[in-house]
Amino acid sequence: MGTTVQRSIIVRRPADEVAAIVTDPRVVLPVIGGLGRFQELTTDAEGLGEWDVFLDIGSVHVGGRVVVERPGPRQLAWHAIRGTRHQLELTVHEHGADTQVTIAMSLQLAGLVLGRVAETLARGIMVRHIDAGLQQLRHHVEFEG
Amino acid sequence: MALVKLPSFLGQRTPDGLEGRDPEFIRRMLPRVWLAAQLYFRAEVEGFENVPDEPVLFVGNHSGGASIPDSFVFNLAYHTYFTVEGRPLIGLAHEIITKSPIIGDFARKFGIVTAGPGKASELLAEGVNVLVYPGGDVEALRATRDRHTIMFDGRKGFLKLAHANRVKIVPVVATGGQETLFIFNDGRALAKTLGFDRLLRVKSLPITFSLPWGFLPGGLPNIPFPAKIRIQVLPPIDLHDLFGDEPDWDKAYDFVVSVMQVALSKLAAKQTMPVLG
Repeated sequence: MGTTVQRSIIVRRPADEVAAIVTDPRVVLPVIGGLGRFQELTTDAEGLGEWDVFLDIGSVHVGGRVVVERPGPRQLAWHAIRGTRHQLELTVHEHGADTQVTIAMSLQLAGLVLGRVAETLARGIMVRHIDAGLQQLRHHVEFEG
Repeated sequence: MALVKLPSFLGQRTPDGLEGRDPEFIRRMLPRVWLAAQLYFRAEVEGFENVPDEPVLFVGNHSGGASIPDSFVFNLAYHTYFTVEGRPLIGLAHEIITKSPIIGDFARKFGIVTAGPGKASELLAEGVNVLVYPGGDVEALRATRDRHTIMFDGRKGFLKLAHANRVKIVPVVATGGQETLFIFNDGRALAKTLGFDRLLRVKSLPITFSLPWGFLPGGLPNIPFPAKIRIQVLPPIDLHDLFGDEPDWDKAYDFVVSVMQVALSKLAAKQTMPVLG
């Protein structure tokens, strides 16, 4: 079981410019991770490797140690190896002269009945956090990049 | 001696302007508004330390249909942070509110005046802080699914107002207000078809569900659902510093809306469940 949320945003900049930011974990994580905390651990020259990534949600800290990878030239992804089991993928697509950035996040929580209840509740929280992260990314690229 | 003392606002209309603002009335009302804000809406307001000690234009996102509970929460928080004797806060509102019997007089005593050409400039020149909601009824009646979206409908008058009067914009974002009733659709097409936009300057007529009315086209003052309200006051924006003496209004609009959208989304991310907070 588990739950998956996918959200997108249009960024008014060319795809190559946006992809350069989205696929660089040292740039994108501070931007979209502004709602929680993150720490670079064992990484290579491009920042790929192990990070700690957490979202602070009320009384809990959702996240854990993740392995950050670049599956494609316009993609960044990570999966948890410690803490809350989750995967996240950032993808950049051309959208006319603009760019569409999509975040897909999957979450698996322990437990049978209450685990499912918690996953259902978590969907809304994930949507709002991903939306906030995408808005920060859009603002960063359009106005601060 | 009269057997029953009628409230003074039933006897004569309160002036529509700074002279209508009644600090003693506000002082008397604050404990009641505080109880509602604290117990019913579990309100949280942060960021007043960002407000400079000079006249500013507060620019807010507008929620909650005709009841706009977050406006009352903001008003309460402002008057307790800066005190009733501090720099007055004047909110500009649609005449449908300020000219309503009872509610209109209540609003004017609280420092709400009818929006109109030149009104805000006069008030800023008098040294007061002015609060505007550029989205007006279009934003206050946006669909519930868009509750975390800034919807100013392309209106740029607030930018020109701040720039012309050389005052800073202080953005204010709020969540929860749009969960005090349910709004099922964008009602602009219906308002236009029925001529409400021309006849009443009402630009949105969506299908709503609220207490005690049930399903209704448009929004009447209602008993709000007890949604948790969060408000964040943001650092000031100086349009002259950022965009010069002859701004590109489209760029300035996009920037201010973007800053507010980011802040609104971050505030929304604090929410665990709709309504409950």
